[in-house]
Parts: sequence; C-alpha cells; structure tokens
Amino acid sequence: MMNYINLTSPDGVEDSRIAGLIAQLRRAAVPPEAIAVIQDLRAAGTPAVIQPLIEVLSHHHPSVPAAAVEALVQLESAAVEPLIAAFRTSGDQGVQAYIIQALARIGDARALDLLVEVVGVSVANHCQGNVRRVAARGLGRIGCNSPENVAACVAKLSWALLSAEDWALRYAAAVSLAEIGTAEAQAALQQALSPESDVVVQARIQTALEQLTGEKKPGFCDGLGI
Amino acid sequence: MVTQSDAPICSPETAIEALQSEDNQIRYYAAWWLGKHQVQSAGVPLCEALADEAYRTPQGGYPLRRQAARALGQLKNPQATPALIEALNCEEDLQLRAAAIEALGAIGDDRAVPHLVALLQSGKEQPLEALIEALGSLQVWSVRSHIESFLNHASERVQCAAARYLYLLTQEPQYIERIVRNLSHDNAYLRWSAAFDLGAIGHLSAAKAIQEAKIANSLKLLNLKRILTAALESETETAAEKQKKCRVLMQSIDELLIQL
Repeated sequence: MMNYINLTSPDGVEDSRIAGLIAQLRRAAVPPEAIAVIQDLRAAGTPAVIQPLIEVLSHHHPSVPAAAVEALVQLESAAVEPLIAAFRTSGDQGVQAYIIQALARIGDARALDLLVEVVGVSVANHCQGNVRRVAARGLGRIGCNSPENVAACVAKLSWALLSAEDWALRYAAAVSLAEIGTAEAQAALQQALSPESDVVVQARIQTALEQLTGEKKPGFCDGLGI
Repeated sequence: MVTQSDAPICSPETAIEALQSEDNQIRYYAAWWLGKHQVQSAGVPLCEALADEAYRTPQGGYPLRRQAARALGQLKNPQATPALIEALNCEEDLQLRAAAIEALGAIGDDRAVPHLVALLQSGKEQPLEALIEALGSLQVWSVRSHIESFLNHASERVQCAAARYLYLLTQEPQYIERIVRNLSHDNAYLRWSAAFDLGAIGHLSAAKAIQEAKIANSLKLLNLKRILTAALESETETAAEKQKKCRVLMQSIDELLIQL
C-alpha cells in the first residue's frame, strides 16, 4: 500500500528520478558523464544521494571525487555522520583524504574528534601531510561554528603550531587560530610567535595577531588587514 | 657478521660510519641522510665519497658520487668547493657533473666561476640546465650573450633555464612570461619544473600563474612560499612593496590550505 502511494505521489516520482540518477552514476563510463550526474544529484539535495556520492570518492579520475566533495559539502549537516562512518570503514588513503576535505569544509562539530585525530600527535611529517593540513583548517571552521568546542580546537591547533615539523601544517594552524579569534586563540598565536623559526610562518602569525588586535606594529607585513 | 657500519642510520655518527659500509645501497642512503639533515661534520667524509669510484653501475654511472655531490650542496659549506670542482672533470657521468654544478651553484663560492665558464665554452655536451642555473645563481653576467642563444635551444628546459638567468639579470617581464607559458604545458614534468623556476625567481607576477597551474597543490604551496620567503628576506625592496607582496601571497597560500 505504501509503495503504491509513493510511486504515484510527487515524492515518489522524485524518488524514482533520483534512483535513476544514482544508477546512472554507478554506470557512468567517462568522467564528464559522472560529473554531470553528480551535478544533478547535488541539485536534488536529499540524503539518499550521500552514499552514492561517497562511493565515487574512489573514482580513478580526480575530477570525479572533486565534484563529489563539492556536492557533499553542499549537503552540509546530513553528510557528516555518513562521511565519518565511511572514513572508519575505508582502507583507501585517497578516499579518506577526500572525506577529511569534505568534513573540514563543512566544519560540523561532530567531526571534531576525527579531525583532531587526523592532525595527529606525532611531530614529524609523514606521507599524508596534506591531509593533516586540511584537517587543521577544519578545526578552524569548527571552532568558529561551535563555541562549546573552541577549547578543544585551540588546544590541538596550538600544539600543531608549536610542534609540527611541516611548515604548511603550522601555517594552517595559525590561519585557523586567527579564524577562531578568541582570547585563547590569540594567546596561542602570541606564544608561538617568537619560537617560530620559519620566516613565512612567523609573518603569518604576526599578520594574524595584527588583525586580531587591530593595532599596527612595525614589521614587513604591518597593517595587512585582510 | 654484523659490523659497526651496518648499524641503523639514526644519528650523524652512524650515518658517517655507514658511508664506509660494504653495502653500496647503505652508503648511498647514508649520503642522502647526511645531506637531508645538513650534518656539517660530514663535509670531509662526503668529499671522500665524492671521489670514490668503487660504486659504479654497469652503464658507467656513479650513484654514490652523485649523491655525495647533492649532499654537499645541501651542506652549503664552501670548504667542499675544490672537491666539487675536481668532480666536474668526470667525463663518463654527466649526471655526476650536473650534481656537482648544482652543488657549486648552491654553495655560491666564486672559485667555481672560471670552471663553470670553461664548461660552457667547451663546445662539448654539457648538463646545460644545471650549468645555466648555477651561472645565474653565481651572477656570472659576463656570459650573457652565450646564454641568450639558448632561448632558441631544442630543449624547453634549457630555454626556461636561460629565461630564468636573463630575468635575474635584467628583471624584464618577457623572461618570466616564457616560463609561465610552461605552467600550462602538456608535459607534467615541464609544468612542475616551471613552477620551481618561478619559485626561484621570486616575482609576484608568477604567483597567480602558479596558483592556477595544473600541478600538485603541495608544489603550489612550496613555490608560493619560496616567493614569499624571498620577499620577506629582500634587502632591496621597499616596505610598501614587501607589504603588497605579503598580502597577495598570504592570500594565495591561505586559499590553498584546504585543498589536497
């Protein structure tokens, strides 16, 4: 009875259209075809499209997972739990990297523990350095979006800023702390300013502090006010 | 039997010891390790490895000597200059010569100049890309007309090396444009090497082109950082010029951080 109603109602028509698109996505022979279907699924915007979008993150052509990440980011809140679950079950580092990118851009507090874990606890650079950097930017978004998580975000970012070997991870931590912009974030930036050995990271910290305090201090990047 | 030299390489001492290993692969790795960690106390043993002909491939190459040359370039200690000049004489392995030229360019000791000019003028096959880059780094402007002739060389890499030398000398934008053109080349190797050339030049007009090029995000970040470092450390630019560069480059880097 329910099936009958669904099939004749406008929702039922929409559901079967989406089911058709999902089947088309799974059959897509070439990247442009897959990307076109992803655009349609993105416009549909229902939770039913999340799983198929996560599936194509393993597509061999980078343009396809990139389009899927865009679509997942637009689904925002609904995509968060499925993305976290997919991270835990996937053994593919490439897929996991796209998942982290999507979660970082969404900036939902439910991804906090995972992003903290990805930023990691080891000082040294490793092969997934770019993923750690992206996760660090995600912590900036979470810290902005959810005041109750500021302390956890600032703690991890402050650690990364003071301890990470990779300059880009330290730089990303500085940008995220600037984005959070609370008194504790500012204190973390201030603490890292003089120990920082890289001129570029140090200049970025200096710029962040100038933005936050609104004062101009003498220096090369004085008064950037971005 | 496990000898002392087979101990794992985990410190300057074990790495220097491992340069004497029976196993050529271990020696090669030791040279790489010493360069990566810029172990200044390894200068003399690396100069010995640079002259050691025991490890030779069937094709006639000297992997250990090449790696020793690269490591000496990373140490940047001018005391290695005479040994590197000596290594330029190796006729059988042009890759070794290229590595020695690059190291001499990185060290920047003027004693190398007449030897590099002699190679340029020898009329024989040379590792031109490395040679032109080193002449640019050492600011050997007396060979300008010779370098200009390479703008029409058959190799695009050599053309770009010449453009980089001529930009460093003249600051004329046409030479940057020549390199930027390669950022959209079909050949991925030429795209990324163009990004490195632009990173080395440190000019703002290159930043946007690097940001939009079809190269790995990590390469974009690295080369934008090189340009920003040069701007921050420049002694010739005004505060206003630096400020403008900082703003543009930081904005570019900030945007790339969330890309994989």
